[in-house]
Formats: sequence, structure tokens, C-alpha cells
Amino acid sequence: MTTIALAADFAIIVAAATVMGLIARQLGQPTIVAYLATGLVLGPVMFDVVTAEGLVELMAELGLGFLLFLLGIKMRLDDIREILRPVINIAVLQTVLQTALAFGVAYVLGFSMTETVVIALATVFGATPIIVKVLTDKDEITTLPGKIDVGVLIIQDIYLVIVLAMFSAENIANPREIGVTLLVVLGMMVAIGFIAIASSRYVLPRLFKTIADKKDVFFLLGIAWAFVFILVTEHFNLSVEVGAFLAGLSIAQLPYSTELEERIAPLTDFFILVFFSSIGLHLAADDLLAYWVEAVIASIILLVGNFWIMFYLIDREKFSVETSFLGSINMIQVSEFSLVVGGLALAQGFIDAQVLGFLSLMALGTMTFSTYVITYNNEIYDRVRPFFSRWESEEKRDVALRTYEGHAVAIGYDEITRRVLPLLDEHFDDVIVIDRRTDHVDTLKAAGFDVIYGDLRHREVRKAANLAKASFVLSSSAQTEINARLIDETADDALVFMEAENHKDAVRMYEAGADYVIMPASLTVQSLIGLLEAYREGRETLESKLEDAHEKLRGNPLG
Amino acid sequence: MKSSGGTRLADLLTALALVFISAGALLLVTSRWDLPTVPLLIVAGLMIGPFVAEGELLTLAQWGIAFLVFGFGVREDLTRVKVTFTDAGWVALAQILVLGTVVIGLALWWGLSLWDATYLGIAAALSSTIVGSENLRQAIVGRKVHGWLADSVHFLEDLLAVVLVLVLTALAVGLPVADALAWGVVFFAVAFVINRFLFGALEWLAGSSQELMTMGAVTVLVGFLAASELVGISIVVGAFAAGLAIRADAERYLSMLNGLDSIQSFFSAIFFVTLGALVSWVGVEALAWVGVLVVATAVVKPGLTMVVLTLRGYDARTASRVAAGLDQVSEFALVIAIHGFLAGVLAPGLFDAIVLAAAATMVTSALTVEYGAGVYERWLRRLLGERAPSRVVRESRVEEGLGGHVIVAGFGEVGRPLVGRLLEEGERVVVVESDPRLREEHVEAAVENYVAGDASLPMVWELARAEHASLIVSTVPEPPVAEALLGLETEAVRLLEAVDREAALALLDRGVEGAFVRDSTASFQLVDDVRAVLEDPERLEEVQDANRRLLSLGGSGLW
Repeated sequence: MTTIALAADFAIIVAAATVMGLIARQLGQPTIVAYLATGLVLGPVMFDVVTAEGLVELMAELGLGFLLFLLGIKMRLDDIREILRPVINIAVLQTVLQTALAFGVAYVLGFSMTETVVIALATVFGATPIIVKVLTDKDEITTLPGKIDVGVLIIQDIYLVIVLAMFSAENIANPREIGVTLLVVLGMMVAIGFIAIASSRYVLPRLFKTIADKKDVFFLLGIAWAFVFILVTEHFNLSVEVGAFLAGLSIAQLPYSTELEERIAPLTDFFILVFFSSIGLHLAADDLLAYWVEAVIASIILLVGNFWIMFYLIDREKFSVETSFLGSINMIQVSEFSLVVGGLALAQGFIDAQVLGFLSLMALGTMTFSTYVITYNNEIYDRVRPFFSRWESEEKRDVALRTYEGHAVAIGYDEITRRVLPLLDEHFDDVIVIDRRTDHVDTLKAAGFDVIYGDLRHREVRKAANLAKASFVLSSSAQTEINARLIDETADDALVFMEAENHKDAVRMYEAGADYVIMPASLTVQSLIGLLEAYREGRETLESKLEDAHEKLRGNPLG
Repeated sequence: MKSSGGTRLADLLTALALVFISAGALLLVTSRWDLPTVPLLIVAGLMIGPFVAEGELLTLAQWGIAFLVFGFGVREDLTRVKVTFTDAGWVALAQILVLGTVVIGLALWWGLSLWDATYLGIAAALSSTIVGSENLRQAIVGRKVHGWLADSVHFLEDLLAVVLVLVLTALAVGLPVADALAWGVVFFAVAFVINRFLFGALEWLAGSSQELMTMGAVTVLVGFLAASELVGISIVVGAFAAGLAIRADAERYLSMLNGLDSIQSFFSAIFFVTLGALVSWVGVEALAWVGVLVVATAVVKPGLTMVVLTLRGYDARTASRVAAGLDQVSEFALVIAIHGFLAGVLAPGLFDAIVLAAAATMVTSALTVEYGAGVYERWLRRLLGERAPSRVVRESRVEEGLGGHVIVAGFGEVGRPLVGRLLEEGERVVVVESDPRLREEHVEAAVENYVAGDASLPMVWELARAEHASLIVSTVPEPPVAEALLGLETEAVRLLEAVDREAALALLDRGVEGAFVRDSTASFQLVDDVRAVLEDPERLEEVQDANRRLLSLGGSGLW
């Protein structure tokens, strides 16, 4: 048993990254910054105690694969349907303009043509994890600027995949070579994408339906699906990331995707930590600092330039000035994807480690800075509002987003909730049922209810039901950890009814703030006591009362 | 980053892809049957065995073991030892002392080494928590006696398995056993200190970040693993102690536990598949030992369990259900076996035998929970049929000449408050309850008349003087109980609990006077309460008070 790789590099990375992450957290920084720094600390830049080989490399590769798989799963077109057209306009033009800006900056700073192309392609992306994380924490992810940003980021992901695939080419300075590679890559992507779409329409729904009810099988099958695509793309010499992304994309439109996303996310967190740390491991101090002056200059130009490009583009779509401002200021940073692209370019020999160092410095610097900017975006807007008011006009208006409000949420479809549902339907405009059984989902949809497939343990699922704005919540889950979370996340004036398994849990839930605790045994006793009273009045009274009860039992509320 | 790793990375990635794709495919193909996941993963490993080099996967499999055992530690509640020792302790003891010893003796007599014999004995004695609790989930969540008992036996055996691993690894590597045990104690003490004092600090540092909490927990695991490598004891002990160190309240640490669960599922899947892939060549002798282990676990062990429980006063149905939950080889036996295999003290053929026997019995055990409990019960009745009645008569107490009374079968959540109410109203009550623990602690204190037997036995109803009763309420929703009551010659009104709506309607068709389903009955009551509150929010307090009064009727729980 002494062969285990525990004293190995991987273990050291995990421990060090966690410590750095905890420190970063105290400084209000995202974990990605901490992980990059971990690589720098453990690698040749400082202590040089860890090398990125063997298991570490595999884990890093898996991290990247899972990250793109997860991005693919998150590409639910439903989420941005209302603003799809403006978002596409913004994303396409933004990509073109920002690439041009970055190209110009890199060229003026004196990088070679190949390096300039890599830098220009690498620095376009917004840092999805940071933007999504900070906005989610601030509860702004579903606001209009949040949705615009998410939409643009989603479209950027497709662009990223193309860029990654392009870098599998031998030479990117030759325009003809680029053209050919691009065509081949696009051809393959279309082919695999076609398979992915076909399977998401014909194969996957049936496939996942049979197993979605079994938690572990569902999870393992999701991973297996990703690996199928990884193997195929690897076979065709495309990068692993492209396969993982397409695998995720093919699952994204299924009702089970949120649930799978929640299960894959921790695994991605785990491996991506190794990936970002390993970037630092590849860099020596000389490499990192070789272009530090250039990095500072480029960072400042891109921070400012990116903002104005985004502002111009969102404003052009006639959103309100506030929306344009917030949507833009969230997207100013150079993202971690510049390192993904840079890492690949390094491996292919397009750039040397010093350029990767340049990209790393820019990513580190702008991500750190923009975290504070996003955190205080509203405060900044208040300060600069007078200046920006010059762009205001009558015709600019925000579209109204549809969200649940004042609705009823029922958790779990079972013997207890199903008889209450028609009653809720009478009283509320929207009744949403959360359930994790595929046959229930069908029944409920047929009966006209909104259904969210998933497990309430998962935050995404709770968010989708917009619990914070619900007026009535009925939980037929008896798991106290879930119910405690429900009480926390609902408004104080919402009515919360929840089930408990035993007396002790029931008392606890009342103490935690439940309005009504459902204990099936107690409610049954109440009803039986009614029958006992009838029994004491005489056998006939009892029999007629029993007849009523049996009549109710025969009825089927949802038809 | 594809081309940077060379072939080793590609091999590892391909091996990993094969692991998950084969597992996914097999799980999918078998999804229509309700089989446990673990044996299917092992079978997937058997299938890909010839195509992968296990050496590459072994390191990942080790992480699988670590996370698996870690997961046990996280979920264990050590304070349970006190409560469970009595009955579950006897069962565990009998399995280990009797079954373990018999198999070890058999193996020695056959001429195997003491090492080999010991590993076989362990495989025969221990039962699987993962498979057992998957099979009995309903019963465990619902706090049924048999679920609780089986769960407790698993718990005790897991604890014992950790000690066994500690001792066996020490012997295999030549560390004095006393030293190993001392280290074990130190590890658990450190785990206790971390759980008590440092875990809070981690939570404070990580704030609301699920990612950091999860990674913090993994870091604790990494630390314990490194420490166990350092002092030379098994990593299983380190992983278990790490689990205890971060054992946390599920309500507060929901997302951390979710995160760990995903990572654990990923790695333990690799472990089980690798285990299957390691099975190389199965000779006649190995097959013979598979046979011995299967007979020992699937036939002898349930018999032993039933005998012990019957001696402890449990009825045949409970005893047979517990037995059906324990008739498989434990995953801990697999962990122990792979330790022995890698340390070179367990012969490869016997390692194969243990893995195969585990896979086989895990599958059969899923079937016995479904169908086997009935078979076991019949064996048991045939075996002990002559004894049981005298015991029922001896332990029951019913007033002579009793008539016009109410019989309540089952003294659980419904039965108990109901009896309380009946007594308040001056009714004469006979309670039928088979669980010896419940009877000693609650029934005897509450009522004068009771029958200590299984309500499905006609003699029990005779003892309860059913033909002279005026009302019979059964709160035991078991078909055999309903059959016994249907066959009864009595003038009494019979009110029976059924397991679901269909069963209740079938009972009514067959002529019982009343039938109810717990959740349906509860939902009628709930609908009334919800309607009251929705139509007039002012009535919330009144409804709530009534509900809380009802809860207090149930008393402070039986378990």
C-alpha cells in the first residue's frame, strides 16, 4: 500500500490551494486567483516543490474537460430566449471589436505576428466563473444586465471551442492554413454537433428518462456520456475540451440538466483547482515577469477598451443606460480562458512560456481588480450616473423578464401533496412542483403545472423556483436539512408547510420557523379519532362516516 | 494541452474513459431491473479487464478507497454505539464469531494459509452497508424496526472492519499491533479535536463558499492520509478518522456534503470497476471458494441472524427482514481484500473469489429483500414453528372473559396516541405488538392487556379475544396481517391500515368494514387545513395550535 500517490504532488496542490483559497476568501477574491497563485508558489517561481506530471497532468486535463462539459450543460437556450437576438448581436460584434483591440495592443507592444494572434484570440473572453459567481452571490444573476452577460458568455463559449480546435492546427500564422483548419474544425464540429443534437432529441430523453430516478446511475451515466465524446474527439485529433463541451451541450436542453450540473459542479471544482494550479507550475519567475510592463499597459487598455466596446454595443440595442453600464462593467476582465488558450498554444509551440506568463499576469491582475468592480458595480454607477445620463433617451427601455412571484411551490409529488395541488391551483396564478421522478414530471405537466425536475438539495433547483418570492411553500420532503434550507430561503411572510418524519423533527421545524408541520401519522390519528367518536355514537354512525372516507379515497384529484 | 502529455496521459485518459463508458453502458442495459450499483460496477470491470492496464488505474482506485471510507466516517454517528449494542450487537457478534470462525476453520482444514483463511473469514462475516442500506432505504428512513436493526448491524461491522484493517495491515508490514492500535487511538483523538475545535474555524474562513468547504474537507482527508502513510498504518484508518473529523450536521453543511458526495461517487466508481478489472483468472479452486462464500453469506448468515433475533424475542417477519438486509459480502471486505492482495499476503485466486462472491451476493441480496424475506420467513417458521406460540402465550397478558373491547394492533406512531385516546375515554383496550423493545419500554406501562406476538398469526387474535371484541384497528399495513383479520370470525368492526390506495380498495372489496391509507388520510386532513389558511389567513394561528396539540399526542418519539 505504500505506492499510493498521497505524499505526491497532487495532495500537496490540493492542500496548498485550499489554504490559499481560504486566504483569498478573506480578501474578497475569487478562488481562481488563489489557485493560480498556488501554482506560482509551489512551482519554479517560488519553492519549486511540485511538478506538473503524471497524475497532476491527468487531473488538470480532467478539470478542463469537466469545466467545458459543465459549460455545455449550462447552455440552456431557454434562459436567454427573451433577449436572444440582442445578445447575439452584442456577442458577435464584441468578439470582433475586442479581438481587434487586443490585436492592436499586442502588435504595438511589439509581439511577433503569431504571438499577437494568440494574444488577440485569447483575451476576448469574459471570466465566466467570476462573473457568474459574484453576480449570484449578489443575487443579480437573473437581472437584465446579468442575463445579457450570461448570454454573451454562452456565445463566447462556442467561440472558445472554435479557437481551441483551431489551435490543434500546425501553423496559425499562415492565413491559408488557418482557413483550412477552420473549415475542418467547423466541419467536424457540425458533424459531432449534429450527432449531439440528434441524440439530445431522439436518444437522450429516453435514455435519461429510464435512469434519471436513480441518483448514482444518473451521475455515472452523465460522466460516461462525456467520456464517449472525449474519446471520439480524441480519435479525430480534436482537443478533449471540444468533445466535453459538445457532450454537455447535447444534455443541456433536457429537463434533467440542472440536476446533472449540480452533481458535476463539485467534481469540476475539485479538478479545476489542479488545472489552474498547474498553469502556475509551468511558469518560471523569469517567464512570469518577462513582459510585466507590457502586461500592465495591456491590462489597463483592455479594461477601459472592453468596457466602452460593451457599453456601445448594449446601448446600441436600446437597453436603458443603467443596464448597459452594469452589463459592461461586469465584463471588463481578461478571463481564465486566456490561460486555457495560452496553455494550448504553448503546448503546440506557437508561443513560449514568457507569453504565457504575460497572459497569466494579465488574467491575475484584471480578474482580481474586476472582482471588486463587480462587487461594487451599483455604487460605481451611482457615482458616475450624471456623466452617463447624456446617453439616456425615451426610446431606450428594458424588456420585462418573466419571473415567478407570489407563487406557490410544492416539493415532491406524492399521496400527500397531490390532493393539495388542485387547491393551490385555485388560489395562485403559478404553481410550481419540484420533483425528481420522470413519470411524475409527465403526469404533472399533463395536468398543467410548471415542473422543475431535480433535487431540492441543489441550489440551482431552489433558485429556478425563485423561492425567495414564493407566497406558499409545501414540502413533502421529511428531510430536515432540506426543510431548514427552505425556511431560510423563503420570505418571512410566506406560508411554509412542511413534512416531518417524527416528533423530534416536527418540534425542531416549528422552532426553525415553519408555519405548519405535516406529520402524516398525527394527521391520521386525528382522522381516526374522528372515527372513534362516531364509533361511540353507534355502529351506524361509524359506518356512514367510513363510507364518506372511502368515497374520498376512491376519488383521484388529478383525474 | 493534448499533445503535451505524451502517451502515458493518453493511456490514462483512455483507461478512465473505458471505466466510465463500460460502467455507464452496463448500468443502462440493466436499468430496468432494480439492481444495486456496486456489483454492476464490478462486472463492468470484469468486462474491461483484458483491455486496460490496471496499474494505471490503481492510484485512482486508492483514492476511491480513501473517499469511500471517508464517506462512511462522515456519516457515522459514534454515539450510536451505546444505543445499538444490545440486539444489533448480538447479531454482529454471531456473524463474526460463528460464521467467521467456521469459514476460517474450513479454509485451514482445506490447507490454506492462515492469511488466506482470515481474509475469507472476513468476507463471509461482514455485510455491506452500501448495498444493504440501498435495499432497505425505505425501512431505514421510515424507522421501521427491521431497517433500524440492519442499519445498526452494518454500523457496528463497519467499525469493526476499520479495526481489522488496522491490525491486518500492521501484521502484513511488520508493525507491532500494539503500536498500530495506539496510532489508531491517536488518529481518532485528533479527529475529535478537529471536529470539535478546528472545523468551526474552517467554516468561518470559508464563509458561504461551498467550494472552499468541500475542498477544506478534502484537505483534512489528504492530511490524515499523509499522516497514516507517515506512521505506517493503513490509509483506511486515516480516511475513516478524517471522515469523523469533518462529520457535520447535515442541515448546516448540506452543500458541502453534496460536494463530497459527487467526488466520492466518481472515485469509488473507479475503485469498484478496477476491482473487477483486477480479477484475472478464475481457477476451479477459486470457483469453489466463490461457492463457499456465497453459501456462507446468502444461506448460513441469514439463518444465523434469524436464530439470534428469534432468541432475542423478535417475531419471524422482523427477523427474516433483517436477515434479508444482511446477506451480502461487504465492500469493506473488498477494501480489506485489496489491501491483502497488494501486500502480497492474499493469494490472487482467493482475491478473485472474494470479489466475485461480493458481486454475486450483492445482486442476490437485492433480490432477497424483494422476494427472499418471505422465503427466509418460511424457513424460520418451519425451524422454530413449534416454539414460538408458547413464548407468545407466556409473554402476553389478557384478562380472562374480556369482551366488548377494542384491539389495536401496532403500538407505533399511530397506534400509541390512538390507544391513549381510547383509554382516556374509558375503553378497554388490548394492544398487539411484536417488537420486544417497544413492548418492554412502552406497551407494558401503558395498558393492562397486551399480546406479545406478530399480528399475522391467528393465535394472536385468539389470545386477544378478537371474537368478543367490538372494534379492531390495525395500524400495521402488512398484507399478512390483513389476511389474518379477513379470516377472523368476529362481529367487531375491522378498520385496517393498507399500504396504498389499491390495497385499501381491494380490502374493502373483500368485505372489511373500514380501510385507510396513512398518507391519503393525512392528506384529507391537510387539505382542510390548507384551505382554512388560504381562505382566511387570520386562522393560521388556530390551525397551527390544533396541529401542535396533535403532535404532542404522539409523544416524544419511540426511537
